[in-house]
Formats: sequence, structure tokens, C-alpha cells
Amino acid sequence: MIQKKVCMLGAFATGKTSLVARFVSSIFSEKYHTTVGVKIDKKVLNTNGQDVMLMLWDLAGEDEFNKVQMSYLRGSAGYILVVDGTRRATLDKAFSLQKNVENSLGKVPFVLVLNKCDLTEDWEIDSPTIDDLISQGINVINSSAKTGQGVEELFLSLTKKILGA
Amino acid sequence: MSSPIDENLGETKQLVSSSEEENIVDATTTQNADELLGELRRLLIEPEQKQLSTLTQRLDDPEIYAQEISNILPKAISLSTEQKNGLTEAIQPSVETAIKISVKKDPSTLVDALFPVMGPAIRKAISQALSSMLQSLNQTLESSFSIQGLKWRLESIRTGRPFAEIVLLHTLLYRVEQVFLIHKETGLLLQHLIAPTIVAQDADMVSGMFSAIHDFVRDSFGVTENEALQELQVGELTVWIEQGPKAFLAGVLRGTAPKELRLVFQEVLEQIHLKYIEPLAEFQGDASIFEDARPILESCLQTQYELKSKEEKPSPALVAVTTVISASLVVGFSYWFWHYWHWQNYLARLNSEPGIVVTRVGSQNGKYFVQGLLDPLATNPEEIRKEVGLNPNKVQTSWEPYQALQPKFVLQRARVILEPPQSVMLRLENNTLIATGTASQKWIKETSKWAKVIAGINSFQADKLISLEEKELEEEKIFLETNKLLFINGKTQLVEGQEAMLNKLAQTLQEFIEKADLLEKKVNIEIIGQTDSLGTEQTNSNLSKERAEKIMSLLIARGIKSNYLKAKGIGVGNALTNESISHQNNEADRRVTFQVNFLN
Repeated sequence: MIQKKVCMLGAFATGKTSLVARFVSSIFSEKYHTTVGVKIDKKVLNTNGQDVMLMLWDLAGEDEFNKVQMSYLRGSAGYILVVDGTRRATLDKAFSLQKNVENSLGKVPFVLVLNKCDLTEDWEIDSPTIDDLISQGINVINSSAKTGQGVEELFLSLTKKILGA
Repeated sequence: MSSPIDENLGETKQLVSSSEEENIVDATTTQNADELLGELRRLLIEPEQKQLSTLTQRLDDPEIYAQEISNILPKAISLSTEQKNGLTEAIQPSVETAIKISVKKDPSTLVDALFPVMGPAIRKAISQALSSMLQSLNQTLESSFSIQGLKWRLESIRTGRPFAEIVLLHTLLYRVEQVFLIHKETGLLLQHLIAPTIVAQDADMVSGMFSAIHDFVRDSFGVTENEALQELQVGELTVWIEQGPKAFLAGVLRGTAPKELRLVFQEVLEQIHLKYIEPLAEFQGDASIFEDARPILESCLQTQYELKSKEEKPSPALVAVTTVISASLVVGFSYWFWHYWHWQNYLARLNSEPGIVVTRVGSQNGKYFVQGLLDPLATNPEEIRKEVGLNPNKVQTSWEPYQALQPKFVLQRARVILEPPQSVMLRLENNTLIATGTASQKWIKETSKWAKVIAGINSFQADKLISLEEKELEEEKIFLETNKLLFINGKTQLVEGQEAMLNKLAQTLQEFIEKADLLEKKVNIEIIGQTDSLGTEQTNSNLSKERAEKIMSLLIARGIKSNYLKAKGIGVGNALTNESISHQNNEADRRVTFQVNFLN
């Protein structure tokens, strides 16, 4: 079976760990647990009749005190940029991270996830912004780790991009 | 580089050219020229033509061509193998296909061919498995009957793991339990080997974490590639990490492995890099290609158990210490056992002794203690202790008095309390105290009253007991009736020397009367006076009465109450002896006798 390393990136508290937990174990917890360093999980999914094992590296979220350890990204086949839709600043952080990743890894497939779409009333990212992202060729997916919306899709989408790259 | 044939053809072309120039006007000579040319060609290239023809025939004819190749093929294969020019890889698919077809067609052919190889191989594998099993069995058996073995057995019960596994764990010097071959760049697992009986976590995730830790350490401490993480220590487990350019090897070890094992790891990693240099460089997540690396990695899965050397001698100090400890233990145990044996004897004696009831035993502050009930008439426990030889400093006793109801003790207690005279025999039957023999009336009376108060006696039986007073009364009666007082002839004066008899009779009479009173018997003593046959009957009658009255007065004078006495004279009376008849002047007939009468 083919294996692929995928990293979860984003600002702190955007829901990276929750997305992995929802994807791998189909669970969601309202309690917030900050990730220290990195957590590794795995999930096998099937795309176009081919089994792929995703090794998911859930990296600690970046804030003013903690920078993402770029060495963890080495060898990644793809990555997921997680943005908290209720915090506009996390989108800017995602762009910043994406730039750093490209400098480190070069161009590798990624998906930009607008998480917490179950909280649309608190949404801070408007449609024009999203349309602008899409127009730049960025694969944008709305997701909610709480409801499970878009979770399978984002991993499947990234896997397809990785295999097609 | 041109061949001789080409040169000949060149020369021929030059000749043809000059001949055409010379004979251009003479057409008739053309035919001759062709013939000449043909002849020239035949002369010049006939050998090569023949060779070409032969070669063509050899190439065109499959049988000949096959024959030719078969002659050179063995040497060609041999050379190719030596030069490692890829022939093996090239023919591998064909060989595999051929084998598959052969097996499909007739498996027995391959079976027959492999039989000489498979037999020894299977035997070797079984032998190795048995050897491993025997080693495990030996370790288990050696440890089963030792103190260490008992300790490990307890650990087995506590942890729920099989005893054999606990033994092997403790006798293990080291064991490589898992080997991870990890792609360096991605951290993805290429291969994972695990020792038998080991339960491992998800190898893919462990592999990822190894990689993450490796990256973290390298970034955190700013070390170079060569100085990267080499070892992790987790409880009883150690993780050895060997770095390669494209992959690293992580071995999970239990115990303390020799440094030489590092060399094995390094060699294995080098072999893998040599063999898989391209797959490692171009790795895209498909680890199936590294399946072939398992035999190489298996050399890392080493296990070494503790081997007990038969020639190994313990140090003199250890022997001395062990001897002293053993001797102390033996002496201590003997001393303890000696006391314990005496103590048990003492307890056995106490328990078997009537009149002693042991209620509590034990030991406290290095001393034995015994508590219980003790009949005062039972054997003294102190005597028992002395008999069994128990050290008095080693035992404390506490006895509460009680009365045992065994017949022996009841009888003994009765004797102590009732104080029977020696003439009395006591026995106990069904809680009835039976007295036989003779005893004073007073004692009989007192005993009848008090015997039933004694524990264990319900009644007192005295019907077979003869009263002492009655016996004495009878004896005194006989004494009184068989003795007589003698008188001087014709007088009421006692013969000299009869005074003592009188006193004796008076004393006996006094005692008799007292006993009769005690026995509540009414008595009457007749004092009978008699005379010899001399004199008249009237004289004798009077004299006999006077003599009786005389004695009566003498007895009264000696304290005998008159109401018990009655004096009477019977004259000559009946002669007591033949002598009295024949000799009428017989002193014995001049007498007073006594007749005792019981009135109730």
C-alpha cells in the first residue's frame, strides 16, 4: 500500500487536531487541547480503487510564541492549511505559513480549509475573499470538525491532488 | 577498416573500368569480358563466398544455429554472472514463469527436484525451533525450584503473564524486539520486523514519532547530521538509532546489548543502502519494494540469554558469607526447633492431663504463653514442665482454678473434704459416693449431711458402712459379760487384786453406756451375784444379792448412773465349770457377773 505524509498546518486553535480526530476516529470534543509539538495519526482511504495510507502529522498551531517547526514538513507529499472562519487573522497566518512551506518544500499539493463552518453567524471571512482565493487556483473547502461537514472531502481532495501530481 | 573482400572488389572494379575503355568499339568482346569478370570474381572471392554461404546456412537453419549457441551458452552465462551485467535480473521473469508452468503442469517434478534440498532445510528449521524451545524450557525448569523462581512465580501471578515469559525476561541479557527501517525524508515506515511473542504498537505511527523526535532533537540542539539522535531510553527498553543517508534504522532493545550489535546495525543499513539506493532516493510512498529487505533486517533481531557456566566458581568471600549465613540458619533453626519441640510436648502433656484445661496458647515477646483452668487436685503444671525439659524462662503460665468432674477428682476431692478414717473405703458409682468399712457414727452423720454438697456427688450411700461405736459397743458388751469379780468365801469383800478388774469393768461400763446413749440405744446392765455351793441356799441367796449390790454401789461410786444398773442375787446359780461342781469350795463360783440387755 502506498503511504503519504500529510501535514496539518495553521494558526493555533483553528481545529487541526479536531479535523484529524473527526477524520480518523469520527469523534469530536468541545474541549480544547492544545497540541504540543506534533501528533501523528494515520488513516487509510481509497481513491480510484487504490488504497492510500495517509500519515497525518498534526503540527502545533503557530502563534506569536510558537513557530511551526519546518523540519517536520520535510518529506510531506501534501499539506492542509486550516483556517478558522470565525477569525480573519488565521487566514493571514495561513498565507504566511504557505509561503514558508513553499520556501522549504517547494510546490507541493495543499488544500485550504475554512473550518468551523457550523458557526457561520460568527463568520469573519466574506464570500468575495473566498472567491478571490478560488480564483487564485487555491483549493478551498469549507469544513466543520463538529458536524463532520467537508472533512472526508478535504482529505480525499488532497489525496487525489497528491496522486495526480 | 576495410575487409580483404572489399579490396578485391575495388581492384576488380578498376580492371573492369580499364577493360571497358579498351574494348568500347568492339562489342563482340563484351561477352568474353563478362566471362572473364566472372572467372576473375570466382578466382578472387570464391573462398569468402563459400564462407558466407556456410555462415548464412548456419544462421538460417534453426537446428544448426541452436547447436552453435548451445556450445557457447554455458560459457556465456558463466561470464555474464561473473561480470554482474544483469543477466540474473533479465532471466528472472522467465525462470519464474517456467517454474510456475512446471508446477502447474506436474508439481511432482519440482517436488522431486526440491526433495533433497527441502528435507535438510525443514530438519534444520525444526532443529533450530526445538533448540530455541529447549533453551526456553531449560531456563524455565532451572528457575522453577529456586527462591528466585518462587519470586518470579509471584511476579507471574501478579502481572498475569506466563511464568516462562517472566523467566525468559529475567534471564535475558538483551533482545532486539523490533526493528524499524524508516525513510529518512518522509518518516514513513519501509519495513518493520518484530521478534516472536512481542506485542507491538502501530508500527507506522511509531515510525512517524521516531522521525518527529529525531527532527525535534536535531532542530532543538542545532546538531549536525552525524550528531543526530542515536539512542532513546524508555524504562527497560532502549531504542538504538542508526543513521544512513536515505534511511535510518531503529532497533528496540530490552536489556543491555553489546556495542558490537551497533556494528551489525550499521552493516545492515549499509547493505540496504547499497541494494536499494535508487528506490530510497526515489521513494514515493510505496514500501512494497523493500519487502526483500526483511532477510537482511532479520540479522538485527538478536537475542542473548544469560548462560550459566558450570565451571564458574563463586568467590571465597561469597562462599564464606553463605556458609556463615547457612550455619547461623541451621543453628538458629535447631535452637528454635528444640524449644518448639519441647513446647509442643509440654502442650501435649497438659492437654492429656486430667484436671487441666488449656484455653489459650501462643508466643509473645520471644516467650511462649499458656492460659487455662487448673483443678487444685490435678498434677502441678510446673512438674510437667520440668519433666519435658522446657526452659522456665521461655514460658509464661496463667491458671484459673476450677473443679474437674472426672470421677478421679470427685473422689479425691471427697477424701480431702470428708476426711474419712482409714477404716473407710470410698468409691464413686454414677455420682453416688459409696462408703464401706467402719467409721464413727459422728463421721457417718456428718458425711451424710455434707457429701452431696461436693461437686460431682449426688448422693451418699452408707448402708454397707459399719458404725465404729456399735462395734465397740458389742466388744464392750462381750468384755462386760465375760469378766467377773471374785469374792472372799462367805463375804462381800473382793478377793485381793480384784480391785483393778472392778475399775476396768467400771470404765468399760461407763464407755458402753455413753456409746449406747450416742447410738440411742436403751440398755440395762444386770449385776448378778453368785456364791459357791457351800452354805445354805438362803444364805447363799442373800450373800449373792449382797455381793451384787456391793458391786452396784461400787460402780455408782465410780460414776455409773444407777438407772442403768440392776443388782440381783441368784445364790449358787448355775455352776460355771465342772470344777465348781466337783469342788464345792470353788473360788470362781463366788462371783459377780454382768448381763447387758438392749431394751430397744
